[in-house]
Amino acid sequence: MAVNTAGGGKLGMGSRIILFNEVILVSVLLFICVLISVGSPKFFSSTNVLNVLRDSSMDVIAAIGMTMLLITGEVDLSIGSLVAFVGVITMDVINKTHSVALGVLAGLGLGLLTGFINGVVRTKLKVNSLIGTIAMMMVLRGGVYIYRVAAVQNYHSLDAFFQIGNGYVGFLPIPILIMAVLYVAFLFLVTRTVVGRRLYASGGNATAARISGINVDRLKIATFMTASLLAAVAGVILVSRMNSGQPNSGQGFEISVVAGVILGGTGLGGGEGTLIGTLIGVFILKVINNGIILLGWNQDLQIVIAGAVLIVAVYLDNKRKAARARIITT
Amino acid sequence: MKKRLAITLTVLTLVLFATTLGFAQGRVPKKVGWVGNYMMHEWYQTVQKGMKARAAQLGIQLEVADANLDMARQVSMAEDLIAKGVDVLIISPVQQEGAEAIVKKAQAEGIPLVIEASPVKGMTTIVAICDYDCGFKGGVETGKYVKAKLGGKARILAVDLPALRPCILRVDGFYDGIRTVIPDAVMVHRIDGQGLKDKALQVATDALTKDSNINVIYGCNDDSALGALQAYKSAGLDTKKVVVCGTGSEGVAFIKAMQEGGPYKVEAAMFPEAVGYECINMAVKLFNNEKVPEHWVTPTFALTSENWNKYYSLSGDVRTINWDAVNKIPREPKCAKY
Repeated sequence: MAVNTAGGGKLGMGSRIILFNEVILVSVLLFICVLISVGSPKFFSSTNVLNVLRDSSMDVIAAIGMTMLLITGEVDLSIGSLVAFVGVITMDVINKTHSVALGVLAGLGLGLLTGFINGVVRTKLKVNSLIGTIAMMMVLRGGVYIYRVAAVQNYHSLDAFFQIGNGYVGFLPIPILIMAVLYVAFLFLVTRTVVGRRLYASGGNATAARISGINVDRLKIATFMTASLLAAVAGVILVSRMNSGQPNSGQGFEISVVAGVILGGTGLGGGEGTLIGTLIGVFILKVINNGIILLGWNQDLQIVIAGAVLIVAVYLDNKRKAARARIITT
Repeated sequence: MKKRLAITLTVLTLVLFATTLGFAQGRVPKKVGWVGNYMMHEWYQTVQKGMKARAAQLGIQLEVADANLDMARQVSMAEDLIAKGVDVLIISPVQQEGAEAIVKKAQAEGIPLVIEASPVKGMTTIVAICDYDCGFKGGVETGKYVKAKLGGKARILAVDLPALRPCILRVDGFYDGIRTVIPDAVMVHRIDGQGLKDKALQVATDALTKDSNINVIYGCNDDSALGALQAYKSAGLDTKKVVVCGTGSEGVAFIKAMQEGGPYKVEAAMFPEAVGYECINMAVKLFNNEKVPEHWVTPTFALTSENWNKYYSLSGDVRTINWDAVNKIPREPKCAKY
């Protein structure tokens, strides 16, 4: 079936396919997987698949929040520094209280507080979120070094703490389960509830959203808090995996998360994006990283190839938008 | 005869007194400035401890500035310290080429300059460890362990940081060192962990998926070694069949890992406190126009889980260096490789 365009012509097969971003992304992911598996038969082993999923879990969890923020037209570049600070605080509190629950709560609390400040800076002080969260990134990175220059070592040996990042339920690593639960919950929130529709409305046209009764500022503050809370969850998983709170961890985390989200089709302009696209986008980047090591290639290619894939993805996304615009104006 | 002896003794006494008086009044610089490379790193924090301790012993006022990995900032801070009247300047260069400007500025102002860590063209002297030799010692000690406890075959996972020449030298040294004991040792993986524990964990996880048949983990710093060890544990592999060697001894992490009695058995120690200590000693020598070697090598040694406590003591999160033991470590007259 052909699709009519504004010019009265019909879109070709290629144009029709690129209308469905997720189809392209899944195709790209499968293509990369097949290529890697040709060079490294171990790629499709259950061990490697679980490793990639476990490694992706922290990025996916943080990317859920980042997608919601980008849908509202905002961004948060402080999550890498937040992950480091959450790790240090969590480990330190567990050491001092011998309570995993208190440590995790302290880490998540720091996440909520950071998100609240980011939201207030954006909505009340009217500071662009790109600038505001870069400033927060600096505050958090400097702050964690003031709090503790050296890594906080694990002085407790509590099994519950180890299990968060390294444990299994059946054959599934716990970080994957945490990711799955959060992903399904937020997928429902974004696609099936009024909150999700408000996110898109606020990002697409904030003025119109306000006129229709949406408290855009409050919604954005809540979204910043959600994004930081999810990044803090990633931080808790990371500190458990590392078995120490490292003030120098999380460097470049925000970039890989934003790249995955954009690769997944979420634009920087707000009002569009899907969590399904985000999931596939993050997986594509993680599979590339994994494949480069399995193939024994130069690791610097991890950055180069990810950048190239991102450019191609954004190009295809622009083509898709143009095709969609032609249909809408028909 | 007695009169001549009395005069001689009197003259000698006066000379000795004058020398002592001179040392006390001006032979030690009053103010020394240090522009560090990246003071947020634990290594430099520990170097600073050694520097401060030695400066305090000699009654020297030490001013510390942080370039924070910014070469332009380092040049500017060095100029500020010279303008503030430091008697000797110490720098840990952010970039070897960029730091030449500081060398020229110090020479123009007549300020003695000590370089720490990375050599700079035109410098008078550098205080630094020998990275290759340090890795080599770790390799030899690890090889001995493998031969005695792990069947004599070595398959290595090395976590490198190829962006930094010193790290490449350490890994090269380790590989050469272990092969003096186990000639057929195999480098199975040599991966880039960026010197960070989380990155090392990430890439080592992937590497172990490719080939988990390894029994030696080497890290070009402690975080790299510990990150790879976490990946090994996380993969469910048997920690009794592996030995870990880290490098640097910058904090308490390696001590704690050794205390746990797990596979972390060897540390190619660089004693950062001693690096700081020697920087101040060198500053005093330059201040006194003494002849100094171009490269003043600071001690390195392969610590093991049995002997680490001869060189360090640990109380809570604070470690204390045993200067007597560290100062007895024989030093290389020059590095095997740069």
